[in-house]
Amino acid sequence: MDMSAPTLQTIQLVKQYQMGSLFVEALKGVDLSIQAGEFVAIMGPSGSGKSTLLHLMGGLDKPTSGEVILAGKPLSQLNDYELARIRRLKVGFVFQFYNLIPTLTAAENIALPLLIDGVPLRRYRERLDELLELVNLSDRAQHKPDQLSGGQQQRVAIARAFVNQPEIVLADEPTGNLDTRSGTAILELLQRSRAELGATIVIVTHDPRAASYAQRVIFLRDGKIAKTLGSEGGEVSLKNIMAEMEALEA
Amino acid sequence: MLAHFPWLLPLSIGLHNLSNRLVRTLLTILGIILGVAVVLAVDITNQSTLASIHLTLDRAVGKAELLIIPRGEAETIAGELAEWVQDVSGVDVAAPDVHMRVFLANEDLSTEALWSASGFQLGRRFELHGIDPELDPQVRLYYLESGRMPTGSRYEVVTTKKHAQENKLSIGDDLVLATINGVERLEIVGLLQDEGVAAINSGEVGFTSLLVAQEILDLGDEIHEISVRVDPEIASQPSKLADLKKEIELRLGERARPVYPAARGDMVPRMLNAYQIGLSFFSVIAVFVGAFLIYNTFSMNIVERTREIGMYRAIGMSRAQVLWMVLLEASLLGLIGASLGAFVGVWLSRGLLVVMRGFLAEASQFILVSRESLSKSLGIGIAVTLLSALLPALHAANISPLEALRVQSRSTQRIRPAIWLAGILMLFSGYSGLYYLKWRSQFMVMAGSTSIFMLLFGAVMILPLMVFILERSSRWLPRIVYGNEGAIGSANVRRSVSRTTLTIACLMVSLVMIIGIGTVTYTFEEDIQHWVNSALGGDVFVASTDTLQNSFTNQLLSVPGIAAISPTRYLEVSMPASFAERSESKRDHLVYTAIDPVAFRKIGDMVFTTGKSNPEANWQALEAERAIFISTVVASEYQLEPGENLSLLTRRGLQDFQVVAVTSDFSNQGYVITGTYDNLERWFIESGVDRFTIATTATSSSQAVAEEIESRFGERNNLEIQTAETIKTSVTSLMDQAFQLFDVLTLVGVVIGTLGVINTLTMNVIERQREIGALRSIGMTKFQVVKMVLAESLAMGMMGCLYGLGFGYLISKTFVYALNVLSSYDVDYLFTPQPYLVSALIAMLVSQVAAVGPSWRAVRQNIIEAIKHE
Repeated sequence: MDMSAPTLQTIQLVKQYQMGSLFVEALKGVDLSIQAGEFVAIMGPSGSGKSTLLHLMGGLDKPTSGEVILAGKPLSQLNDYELARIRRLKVGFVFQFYNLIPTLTAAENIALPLLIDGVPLRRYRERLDELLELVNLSDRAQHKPDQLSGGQQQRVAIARAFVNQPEIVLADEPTGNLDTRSGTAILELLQRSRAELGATIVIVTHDPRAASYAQRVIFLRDGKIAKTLGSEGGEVSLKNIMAEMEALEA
Repeated sequence: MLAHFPWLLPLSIGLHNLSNRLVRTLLTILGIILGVAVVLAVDITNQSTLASIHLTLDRAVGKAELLIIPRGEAETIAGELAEWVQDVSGVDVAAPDVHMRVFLANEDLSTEALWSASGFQLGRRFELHGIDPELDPQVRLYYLESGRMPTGSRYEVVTTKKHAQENKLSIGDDLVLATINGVERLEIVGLLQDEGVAAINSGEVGFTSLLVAQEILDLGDEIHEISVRVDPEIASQPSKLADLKKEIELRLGERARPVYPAARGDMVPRMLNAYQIGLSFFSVIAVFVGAFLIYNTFSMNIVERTREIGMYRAIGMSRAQVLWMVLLEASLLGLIGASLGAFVGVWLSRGLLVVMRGFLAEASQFILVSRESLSKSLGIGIAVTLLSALLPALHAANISPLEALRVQSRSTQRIRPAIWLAGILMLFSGYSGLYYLKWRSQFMVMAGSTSIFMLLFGAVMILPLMVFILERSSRWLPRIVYGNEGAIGSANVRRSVSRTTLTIACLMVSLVMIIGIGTVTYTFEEDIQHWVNSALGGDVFVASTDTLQNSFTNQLLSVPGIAAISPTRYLEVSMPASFAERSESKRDHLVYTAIDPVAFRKIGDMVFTTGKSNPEANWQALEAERAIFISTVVASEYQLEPGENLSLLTRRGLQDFQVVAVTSDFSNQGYVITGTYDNLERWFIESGVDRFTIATTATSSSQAVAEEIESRFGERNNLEIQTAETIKTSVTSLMDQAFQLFDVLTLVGVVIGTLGVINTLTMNVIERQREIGALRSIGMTKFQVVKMVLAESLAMGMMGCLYGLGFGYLISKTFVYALNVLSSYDVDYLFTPQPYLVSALIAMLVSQVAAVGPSWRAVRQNIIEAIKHE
């Protein structure tokens, strides 16, 4: 793979929804490029299209027009099976409500993408131990989700997202359901994971503190990129992010 | 509107709930519809079957339940007695009858020629009945093909179409009869189809008016007998019929006596009684299943709304308001579901009866929807809906709002020990009710049905105790079949004990039905088959409408291909009232089957239920004076054992006959005793043969022998000749037809199991939308989701199978035991693997077929919508 090529690229991404007789344009031509190893935050007020953008980037939904290129593959040309494979092998998802399987243990939940891929778990024993270590849950490996706190559950979800060494990890409000302390721990974990595992991370959030962990912050308004902090724009800092958010919501 | 009528708030919320969760609402209504429909359909089917059985029996043996015949040596009774009997309370119709055997005269032959020849070759015997054309069709079945019935004192007759065709006669022609008083001409005014009365005397029969027949026979006002049809309620209860018979006997005194019709005996009431017992068992199962289906769907609906109810409580709704809201909703659903269920029930019963049409020739005519069945099923529908709403709603209303809010719309509530403890108690009560407690005969059926209900209920209630054990024992199968998806799917069954319990219970109930019914059918079939094989013994059977001379044996022996012949004589014998009293039906007569033991044993053998180890000793004992074998039915009805005496009225007065063995013999509905010809001749001063059982030589075919006998002696001696093969075939086919009702119930069982699994899985899929969405988002393909749902279903199928097979074994033993107690047949429980294999296969198949819809639903859902779903 060409190392200079972006891990993920969106080209003139448009997404329309039909709500009754009305057509709502959630995204109005978004061009975006994310390089390998980057930590990107997407921010914006409610209804700005940030979750829609994340879903399209992860191949959960198809754009009305435009293209998402993930690891060199244009997603619009893939069928349902191929999209599922991409999600399983190239993408890791982290949700606000963790979405763990209550009947499986923490270790089994982490290994779920491998189970789905049909690989024998014994081959990945070391990797699972490594991940449990990373998320600091080695002593909770055999616990079921209902025996874990919210923060611990989200750590399991993060380990699950990294288990297949994906090209990109997409997190939708990963701290939205957590208290400040647990939220901070999760963000630090994401940052550490990126450093240790060399992953690319995109988070959607409307928490400026969470976004401040990113290298680049993209602000959306009315389905378009309104501003970017980081690489070419201003410096990523809590103060700048809050100022931008205030401006967007004004 | 709510501003003006705030008390409508619960109704308004309830209605919103119903419309917002349309799929769930529809599923709940579907559950209620099916529950009500099953109860109604089985009820309708039972009643229709019974009505059809009535008709079938009437066709076979006539409608009359009693006959009034002359006493002693007299041949006739006074005609006026018909009116007297008609006035007895409980008697519906009393139809007088005169009958005579006449010869059909040929126009070319004179009467003298017919009589002087004294041989039957010259004219054929014809049976002429004098009847009241108004009353007789109420006690016998007349199917007029064309024309009309005879009227008044005119010399008119109706005869059979068969007879008319064979003799080239048609309406308007004269039927010429040679009677003792000369030739009589009767104008044919009607022709009968080959059914009902047309079967009498193989179709050689005619019916004229009573007055004409009395004139021909110079009988004056005298008649031969009165056929009595009684109130249907009395007709189906042996003891009431016996009481009525006794009352008529008292009224008639010395002038005449009532008897059970020979063909009918008291078999019909007994048979109807037995059917009613069997059908009431099935009704119990149907009620259980119907109630269960409703509870299953509705309780799931409420349980998963615990969180919502907690929210209402949190914002200030009182417990009473919560209950009111849930009950309003339940009443609405119950009413809609039950009403629709009634329609579906009628439709379903039509379907069931179509399936049974082989057994019930005119089933479609008998869609009987009684007000009782309708109100019963509607009542069950609404009551069970309210009850299944009330219990979880009470629970929800009683827990703190905070706790309810924490439930997170999952239904992993614990099963309280009170439930399984009650289950154990029910199992114990049901078992004791059947095996240990003695019930008075009038409560026996009700007690039996209640006990079976309790066993089923108990088995369901203790299920929560078994779920984890069953899950552990079943885990391997989905893993082997569906791999990793199988492991994920099968683990899901642990999530909601209550839901898994209900699904397994549904499967268990259906398997119990299949195994119970299969085993009972097999047990009875084998028993009857065994008896048929041993009772038939021979290869060819020769019977005659007249008693034949014993010397006819030698004539038969002249037919080539015959190896041995065993003659049998059947004689109706009476017993004193002291013995009749022992029987519940107060039956005072039995059939004495006279055999020649040596000849008999050359051809067949008896099936002994006592002294099985030494049959030789039984046979030796029979040679003694006044020794008899009795059937299992006689042994149980009259509480007799080997060594005891049975008193019989003989020509030499009341004599004690010693019981030397008990045999399994179902001929004459089991009211049969067997003795030697020596005893027959000595004590009953009778001889002759009613039936010859013939063994053919190894090299000859029984069909050829039968044909040869027919050609040599058939017409002259009015012989009826049958081969063992044809009898066995017809018995087997009759048996198959009779047990078709059970097949239909098996089908009902399968439907229940399927619906139970569909219901649970659909609920599971709806409830786990977000989780399935998450799995899809982390890379699970649609096919893998399907595999996961199928695996979950397979796990439940396997669990239901294990529990159903175990409990099915126990309940099948109980079924056989209960039928043994309630009917007089003494059959041993026989194990057959077939219903178990069928059940296991059905459980697996049902689990997979039922999962198709829910799994399709799971893969169709939009991933994004699903992960947003709460």
